Amino acid sequence: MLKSFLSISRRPLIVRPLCKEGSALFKVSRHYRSFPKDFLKPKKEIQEIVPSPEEEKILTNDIIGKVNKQIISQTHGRLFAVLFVNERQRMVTTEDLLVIREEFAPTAGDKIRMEKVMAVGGSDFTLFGRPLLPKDLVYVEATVVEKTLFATEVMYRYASKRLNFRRPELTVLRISDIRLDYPVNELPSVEGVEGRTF
Amino acid sequence: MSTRCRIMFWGCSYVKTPLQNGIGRYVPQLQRITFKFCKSSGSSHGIRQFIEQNLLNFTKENPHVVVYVKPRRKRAPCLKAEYLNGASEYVGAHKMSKEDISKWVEFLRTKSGDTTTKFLLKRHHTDFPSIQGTWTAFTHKDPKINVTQLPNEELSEFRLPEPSGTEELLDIYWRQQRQKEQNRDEEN
Repeated sequence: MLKSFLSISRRPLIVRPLCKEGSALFKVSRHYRSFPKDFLKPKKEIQEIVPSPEEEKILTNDIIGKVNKQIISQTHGRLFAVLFVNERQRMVTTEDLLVIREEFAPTAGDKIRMEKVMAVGGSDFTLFGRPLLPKDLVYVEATVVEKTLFATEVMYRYASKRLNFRRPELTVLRISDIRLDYPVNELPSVEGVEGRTF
Repeated sequence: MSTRCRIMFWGCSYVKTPLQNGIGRYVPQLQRITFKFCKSSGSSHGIRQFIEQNLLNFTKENPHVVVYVKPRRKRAPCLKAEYLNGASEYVGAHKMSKEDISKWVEFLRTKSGDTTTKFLLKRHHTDFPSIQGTWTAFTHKDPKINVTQLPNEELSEFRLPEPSGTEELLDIYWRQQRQKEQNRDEEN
């Protein structure tokens, strides 16, 4: 057995040079590869066509236009959003259940607007915030369905004879609505004012 | 007791709500709450105070809840809540203050009938796990793989994640050769 393993490990590598130019040393199939794509290629030899700023502008406008068309006609299907809740990110769609483990003021039946939205996407596009999306762009609503306590947890301490128990707060949220109100880059001039009285 | 042991004895569950509560609108789950107490004993002093001062406000705020007040002689006070799905919850209120009882009443009001005293395996539930499609090994890959006949020599080749010593040496060798050729061309 051992010998057979050794023989496998000592099997010589068969390296077949493809061409003299040395860019691709041996035949490497482009699929099933675990290391980066241009791993063996020297970087200087790579030639790319860098689009000019004007061309880039045209490209971005084209893409944003396509997204805006979907937003205006509401043809994007179900939306998902990445929320920032209790210092962690949660990917969420409508009719989802979320559990929060910390103290949470709203009671059962309350409707909350989730303001920290990091990303929103449909089947064809995703909008990423840097780090958060503007408030007028996205509207994410959640209803508090339940407020209870967790199952009893044991708080261990090293080298102590006494055990402490606790039951932290548990709130269940249901995501009731995710919608895109405005098209991208066409937000109102003053943000975060809509729906508020001064 | 480790979590595994706890799961074995007390069971575990995922997040759930009765009757898909919250879709469309929120349906309050508490249906009936009974306050059982003694009129004279000191142990039910707090619950008597709660009934005198806070109970009417509670009923006004929650018209969907049926409130029973049940005095009984020389027995320990308690709260009993009954829910929409038939489940019931019992809280002993022996020697509790008024504030404590109002807290427990609030706890019973916001709870749903599904007792979540079990260990939660996940804190998130979706019916739609992916919207842009789940990732597979063939996403963003050349569809040429579908047509290739297996076994294939190219695909079954042994490869290391990093270049080995021989490969690096060969790379240097080919570069040198290439430079020599360029130099020759320049001379000519």
